[in-house]
Amino acid sequence: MVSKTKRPEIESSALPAISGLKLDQLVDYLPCYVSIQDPNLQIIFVNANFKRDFGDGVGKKCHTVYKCSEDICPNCPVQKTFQDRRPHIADETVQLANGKICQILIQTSPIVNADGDVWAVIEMATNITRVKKKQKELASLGQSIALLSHGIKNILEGLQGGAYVVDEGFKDKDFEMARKGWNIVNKNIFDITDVVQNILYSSKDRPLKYERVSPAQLARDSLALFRDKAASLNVELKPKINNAIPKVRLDIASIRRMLNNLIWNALEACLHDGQKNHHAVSVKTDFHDDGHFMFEVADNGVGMDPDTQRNIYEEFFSTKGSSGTGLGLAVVEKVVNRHGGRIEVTSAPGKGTCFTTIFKIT
Amino acid sequence: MGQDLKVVMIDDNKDLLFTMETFLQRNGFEVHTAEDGQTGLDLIKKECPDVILLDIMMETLFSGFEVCKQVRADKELMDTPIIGISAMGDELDINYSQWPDYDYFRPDTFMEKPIDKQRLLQLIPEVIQKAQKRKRDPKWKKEMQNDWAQKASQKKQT
Repeated sequence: MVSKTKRPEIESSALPAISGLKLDQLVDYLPCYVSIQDPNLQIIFVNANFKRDFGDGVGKKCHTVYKCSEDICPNCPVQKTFQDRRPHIADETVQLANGKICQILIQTSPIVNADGDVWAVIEMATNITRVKKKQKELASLGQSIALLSHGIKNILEGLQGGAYVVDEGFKDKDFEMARKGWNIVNKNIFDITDVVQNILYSSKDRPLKYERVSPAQLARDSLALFRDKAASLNVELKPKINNAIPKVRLDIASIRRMLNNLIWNALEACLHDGQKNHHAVSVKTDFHDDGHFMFEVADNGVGMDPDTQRNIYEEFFSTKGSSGTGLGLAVVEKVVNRHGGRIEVTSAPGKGTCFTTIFKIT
Repeated sequence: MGQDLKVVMIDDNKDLLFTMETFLQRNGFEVHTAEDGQTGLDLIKKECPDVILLDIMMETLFSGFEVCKQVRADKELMDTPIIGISAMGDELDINYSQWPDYDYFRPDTFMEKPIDKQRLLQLIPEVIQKAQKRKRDPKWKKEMQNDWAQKASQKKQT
């Protein structure tokens, strides 16, 4: 692709007549970073865009400008071009002068002198941070669909199994068996409803409908909803409700979703902990400080390590293997943020987790 | 249909255990169940089943992977056919392929949730037959002499 001979010089008449621009000035208008580097990877020319975002790098090595590093980047495309006289392409993560990290796509080409030697390499870099972000989003969408379908498959298993047991019970006129089957069906209907509501909540921002409601009542409702599930998992549900909290303005459906997700997670954290004989989930509603109240859901289940804690609010992040959809805590965070509240978590592996959501009394 | 074949099923989902126990019993199998890997392994040692149905991705500390490894490393149990079950069927091979002795430690076959019950009835005699054939395979025997227990304990450390 690159001939050893010198490229033809551009006649000045080939430049736009209107501008009277010189060739190097034109380079300043290119919508990308252009630099030229010598065989020591020292920058000998940069265009205006480069100067604006990375500072005047002339006289410095490219890796110190791009990465503040003394080491040459592995697979350096400029070095490769010096070696094989061919253009090369590379993706690099670099730091702008303002400290921002971004991804660039680098393309290199040799500059050959009259003797046919590569005396410099020209590098053109395009900021592809946005493209990379989109790529990441698409990849995570694929993962999320896989995770959701795994969760739903488990529920389908439960529905089919429950229906089978009901059928067998009817066949034998064994109503005790039919009742057991029906309980399994009901439990899985509860589960799929929860998954679907979380999908809807995380995918669409419906306007919040504020109503005056007692936080204590909301907590009691959620506790009632999980009474049977907790009993079936052999987990004690402990209400710690302060009835003195006044009615506040909340979007009832969202807060219920938040509480349900927190209690659900707490119960599952207990289920996955094989270390203790007694498991409990406490649901507390109380004043937090002047002007604020809180909902607190605490369990003595498996707990989380710091790495897990960092990722819990990411959509489609789940530690629950095939039974999680990775939506629960992402929805909790969304509810809290949309109410202008804040969320705190303390957790230790093997000890348990406590989520506190704090809201203004309005 | 089960001709009194003995099945041990290990799954952390109580409802699934109940459903499958009902189904298999009604099809003539003797069924024993466990909700976690450690209890399941003890049950396998006690009952010496004809076939093991094993949830691979159990969320207990002692996972299905570990049960599989321990069964294969036990000279008394190593020939017992294992049907691995998971909702994450597509990811099973990825997990197993991380092991150098993948072919020996993996279950005989996999079934995805929701379990196709009729297919399971066909599969049980198939895996039992396959396991008996394997028992007579000199290559399998040779591996047995290489002391799998030692291999399994090495993997535990890695």
